[in-house]
Amino acid sequence: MRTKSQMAPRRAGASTLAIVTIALLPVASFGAAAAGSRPNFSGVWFSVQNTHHENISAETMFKKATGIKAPPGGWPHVKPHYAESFKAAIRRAEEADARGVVLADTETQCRPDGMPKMMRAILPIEVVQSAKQVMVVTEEMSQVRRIYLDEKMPPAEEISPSYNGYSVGHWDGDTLIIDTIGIRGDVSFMFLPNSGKMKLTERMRLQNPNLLELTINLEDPEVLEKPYRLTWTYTRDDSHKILEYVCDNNRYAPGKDDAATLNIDIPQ
Amino acid sequence: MKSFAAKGYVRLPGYSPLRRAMGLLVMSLAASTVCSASEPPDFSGVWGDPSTGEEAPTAHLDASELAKLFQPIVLPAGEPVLKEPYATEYRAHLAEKKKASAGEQAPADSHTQCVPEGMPHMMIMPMLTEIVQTRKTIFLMFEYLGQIRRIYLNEKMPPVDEINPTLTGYSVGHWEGDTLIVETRGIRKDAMFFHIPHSEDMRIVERLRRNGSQLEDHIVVEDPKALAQPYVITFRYKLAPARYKLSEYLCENNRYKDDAGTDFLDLRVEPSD
Repeated sequence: MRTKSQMAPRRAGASTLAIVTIALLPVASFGAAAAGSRPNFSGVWFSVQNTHHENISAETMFKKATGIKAPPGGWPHVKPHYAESFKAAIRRAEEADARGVVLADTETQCRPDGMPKMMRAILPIEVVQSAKQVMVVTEEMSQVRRIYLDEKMPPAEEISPSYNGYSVGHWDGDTLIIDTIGIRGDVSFMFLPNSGKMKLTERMRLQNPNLLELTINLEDPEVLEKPYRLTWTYTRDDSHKILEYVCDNNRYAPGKDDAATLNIDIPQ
Repeated sequence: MKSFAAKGYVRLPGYSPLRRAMGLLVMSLAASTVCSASEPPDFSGVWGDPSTGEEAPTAHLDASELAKLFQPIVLPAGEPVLKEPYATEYRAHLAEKKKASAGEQAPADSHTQCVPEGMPHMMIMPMLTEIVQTRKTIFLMFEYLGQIRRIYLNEKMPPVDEINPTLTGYSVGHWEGDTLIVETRGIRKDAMFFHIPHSEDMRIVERLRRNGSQLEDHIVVEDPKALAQPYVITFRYKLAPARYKLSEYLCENNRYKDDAGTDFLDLRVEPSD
């Protein structure tokens, strides 16, 4: 995704740089950020955590994908009031996994992951950056996340809660700082309860042109003893075209003679 | 451009052959960028208000008035002229729909099943659609059903048998002056425009043009196996005010109900009115 316009200023002398920059101004809003000093995150990214899966069993891959294991950075410190339900949720998932039962969670119900789960990118993500916003589009569930640049965060009570929450971003040098609030109370990350007052602060930057780093700081004063922090990295593969993803409610199961049958057994 | 480059160049202090080569490289890059990128218009923005650019005529109707409006459904470009066996299949689809409507049942179509509409139905755009235009790709992000369509610019259409069929199909586009010509192939046979069946050979050619705050999509659907003549539709969209932001859209399968905290499946289908 590195375009000629990005390459040109770095190779040019000061006066030529000015000419080139002026010449590029009317190109497109997409080019505006690229022509400046800001890094360009646009491209298709694969999670490093999820792609190093050679020669491992399907079971291990499932565990990695479902998150039934300590999340990166270890388990968060949950306040006593929420600790029991947190442990119970993990135990329930582990037991279901041992029995080979798929729980009716967001994924089996075709609901979006929401934030910050969607950023773990079990399937590739595409970043589309313009001067006004950074969009993150996931292949899994076709989720779209919009990060509005240089806008003020609206008051919390004016935000309609959503899976991805409301995100505003600003640049701190080569790092994009993203604040997110307004995440629906039923969005859970790694079995973690969510009081509805969850606040995320992310730092997104390029370690190098082909390695994107995202550090997430998760705060929820009602649920967590202290903020929970994790880092995910992604490698670039712009040759990949994000595929269409249709999550057809899979309560339809093959029945007699392989005919699609409505399966009304919901594992509790 | 050439003389301008030369003039800019001689002003540079510390002349060296290397710098000269670098300068020419930079200027030629800038020149090619300007020539190729300054011509096509920018479709980026949030678009809505389909067809007329006026307020949706259904906005102030109650449920029963709405139901009347949608029965029978009026095709945007009239009835298609279909060949057999597609004509028979189409009549069967319409009969099914009529029967379901008579029994006050919503027919199980893509809308009631939360499945994306696909092409060309999605271009009706009942809700806002954000277009993000880059040099390589034009993204159409639909609020309705959260559908996403990508148009790859200046790429060759792959052979049809190499395209994995999708609801949205595979789209490539190129600019002809101020018009974006988009070809779409590889549309799943179950992605139907108002129940009209089509073959795997269906090909859609669109001509998109922006006129100020209006975007026009002239759509020609070709399908020599199914259509006796191409089906032609034109949609127009109005640019929404800059403050408009797309909302998250969640189509939850509506057989799932929450009753006093207990999830259960509701197998009844709500009456359509």
